Amino acid sequence: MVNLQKEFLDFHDKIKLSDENTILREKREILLNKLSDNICDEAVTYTTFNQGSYAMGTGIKPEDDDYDIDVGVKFDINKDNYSDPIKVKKWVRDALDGHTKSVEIRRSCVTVTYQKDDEPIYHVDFAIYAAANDDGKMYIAKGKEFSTEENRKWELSDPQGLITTIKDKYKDDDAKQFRRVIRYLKKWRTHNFSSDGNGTPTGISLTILAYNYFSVSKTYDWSKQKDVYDDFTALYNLARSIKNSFSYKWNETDSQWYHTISTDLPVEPYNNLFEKMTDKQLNSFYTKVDTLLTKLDEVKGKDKRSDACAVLIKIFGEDFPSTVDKSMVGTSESASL
Amino acid sequence: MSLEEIADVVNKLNLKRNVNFELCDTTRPEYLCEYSGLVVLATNENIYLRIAFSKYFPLSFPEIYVDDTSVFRAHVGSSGKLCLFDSSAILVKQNMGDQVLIDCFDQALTILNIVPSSKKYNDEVCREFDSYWLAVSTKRAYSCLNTGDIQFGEYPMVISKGVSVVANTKNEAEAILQNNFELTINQDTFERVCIVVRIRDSSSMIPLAKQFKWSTIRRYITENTSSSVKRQFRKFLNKQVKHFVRYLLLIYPAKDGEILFGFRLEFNNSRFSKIENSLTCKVENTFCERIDYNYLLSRGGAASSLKNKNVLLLGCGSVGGYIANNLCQVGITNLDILDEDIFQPENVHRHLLGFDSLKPNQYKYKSDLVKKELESKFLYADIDSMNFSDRSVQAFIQETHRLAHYDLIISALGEPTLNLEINKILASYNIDTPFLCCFNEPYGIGGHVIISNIDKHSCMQCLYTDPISSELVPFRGSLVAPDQIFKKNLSGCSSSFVPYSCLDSQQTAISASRKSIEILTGKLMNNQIITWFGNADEFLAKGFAVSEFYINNHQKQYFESVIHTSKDCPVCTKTLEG
Ligand SMILES: [Zn+2]
Repeated sequence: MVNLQKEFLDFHDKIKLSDENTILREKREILLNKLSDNICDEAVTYTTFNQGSYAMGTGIKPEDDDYDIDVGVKFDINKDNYSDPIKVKKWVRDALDGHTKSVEIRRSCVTVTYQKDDEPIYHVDFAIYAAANDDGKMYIAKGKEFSTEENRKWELSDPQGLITTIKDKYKDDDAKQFRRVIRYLKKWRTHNFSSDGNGTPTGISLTILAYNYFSVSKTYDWSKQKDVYDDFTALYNLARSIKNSFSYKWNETDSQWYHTISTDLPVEPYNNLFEKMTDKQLNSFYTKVDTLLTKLDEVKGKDKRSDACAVLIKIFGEDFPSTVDKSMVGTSESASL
Repeated sequence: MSLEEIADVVNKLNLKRNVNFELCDTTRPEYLCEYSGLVVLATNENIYLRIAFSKYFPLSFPEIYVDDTSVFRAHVGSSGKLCLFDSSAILVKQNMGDQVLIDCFDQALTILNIVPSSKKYNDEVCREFDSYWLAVSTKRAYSCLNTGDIQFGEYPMVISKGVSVVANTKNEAEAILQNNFELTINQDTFERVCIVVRIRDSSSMIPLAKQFKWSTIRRYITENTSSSVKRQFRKFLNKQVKHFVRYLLLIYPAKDGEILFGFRLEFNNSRFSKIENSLTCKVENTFCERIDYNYLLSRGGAASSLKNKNVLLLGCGSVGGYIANNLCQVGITNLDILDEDIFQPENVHRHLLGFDSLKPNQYKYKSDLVKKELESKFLYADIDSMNFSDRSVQAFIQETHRLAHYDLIISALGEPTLNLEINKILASYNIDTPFLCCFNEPYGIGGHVIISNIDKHSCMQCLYTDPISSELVPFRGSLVAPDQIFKKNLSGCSSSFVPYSCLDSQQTAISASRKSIEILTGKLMNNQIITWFGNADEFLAKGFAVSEFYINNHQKQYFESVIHTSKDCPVCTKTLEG
């Protein structure tokens, strides 16, 4: 096998959605200003925070130029005083309504969509929370504008706890490899699943699988006296662990054996992140993980860099770099004999 | 010190020790002045001593002589001079001339008061026996016998132009005469027989004398040998001879090692009679110059276990030449050298060999010349310069089994591709021979010694394997930053000239030689990399860059570590799995 770390790092540079992405920041700031300017007098005080993959440092650039920004809005309210969470969501929806964009109340957030000619699309998702509750916990406002009563509710949620949990799992360079590998997985997802529908594992579910099964892969280089990171092996090991965490289960309805998986959010509300996927979909997820592993094994067997890259391009798409091989390595050994 | 000052110092001695030394009328030419006086020994014996001062006193000690040299005394040379102190072992305080004299005088009396026939006396006699025997010998013989194994025996002695060599075989003696003493063996060369006799442990040394009688020697041997030796000696004594010459070599087991001394015996009987009873026997003391391997090498500090080791040296260029020399000097006797290069004038200041190894218009192979040089320098060096028609390493390693014949393979080739090929052969054919590679870095910034095939946890290839893959990478301990080109070529390009490179080569060779001895004596337990660091000013001034490894370690000047396994090393990790 060949050393693909440079290729993986180049690949990562290409796909990562960096915190320094100025356009995203601008869009967010504009909306946050608008929110504070226009929010109705009835609304109580609030604070905002970044959430989602962007905040966890695990975001990747969308292939279809459809950028997603997640913002949390914490209102200083007690959920018990607002039996209808949609009321609170409307405060935000109404404040952000304008001409260049559409604003829409979705089940878990209020979404602002920018679309101008052939510029990229930006979605800014505002998740709305009640933060001053009797039990000291946070609750997210769930429900669409015209949802039935039982679909409108406050649900336990800990978005900031999630961010810290993910961010604190590893430190320094280890944490960097952890986040890189999550991004590789996400890129694999975009390239191997259809972009719509429940058949695709969510970004957060992949992140939590990594949280549970990732281990740092690095080797101490005695000559450089520092650790050398091996993203390929880290990804390989993670893929193998994910595959091994599936269980083989009999499905009564389909009269079939399926490989299924479940994994819980490590914070409130501790729900199974694959609960929305059917056993059949999970089985197809399994097949794809299995294919990923087979291909990574194929990469392992390559002695030429260009051959290894060709396989990785099949896994991740054209963002993964291709390289040329050399038949010699330089030496200074005979220089002064 | 002036004469007056010395007179003053002697006066103080006379007062403090109650003696009466007076200035002598005559003084040996090497001294400034001499004083003479009488002292009384513990045995009540009166003897005259002379104290001789050089003009450098007290920087040099006064010498003390016994006037009467007819009696042998311990620590007293044949000229009567006492051996007082080993001046290399003591540091003398200056401006204490009077005390120096008193201390010397006291030491002289201590020595003279050693009781003859006491154990201490015998030990002291043994300690300086060689210098005494040299002074009273009229003959001299070289011995390359390994005396440690001999109880009693007859050995050939070959004599050419007055040089005598006693050896295990006639051939061996003749080879030394020819090869090392540059004497020709011809019709004037003749052979004698040398009887070698071991004296029993804890016997006293033969009573010293300048001239020995055959009867004294005979009695000493019969009284101080083991019964089996005595039996064999008896057979010799019973021999009927008329005119008969034999050399006799005695091995005396002293506390600090064996003492060898000999006699030339010439019997001249008017008719055949037993050696034992021969009355007319001319005895000549014979000084024995030991040139046997163990004796020569224990002086050099080497273990004789090196003698039976077989070492293969690939490349005897700049580094390899010095290694060959070092190995022979420490006592390696079986060395095979493979090198296909010709020794040329531009090599002279970068190589062990000198200009004397060059003959106009007929330059020779380096390995042949190194063989010649070292075999004449070192008596027991037996070098095969492997003068095959194809002297290339590539050709040699085609027959892989040859590598298994050695106890150590050293590569001073500076060709990593070949080194790695050898590494691979050793691993895949399960050949246990330790493998040592060494080479310099450019511009004197350092050098390396890499030892592999000692343990199976890593190998040479590990140092050329990427830490996280099985890819071949440049030497990971390299002192130069990657992707720079260095030329081997010296001629015509003054900018690539490396000043003092012979010193770099010697430094690398010394590390390699030390490690070779550790390997051959079984003291090295792991695969190792050893790096020495030189100054990089010149290298940097040429616009080159050093490696991270250099930057991290050069201040220590020396780096030594086990070879870390590269987890995907295509050579040793595969072997482990298989
Ligand atoms: Zn190895």
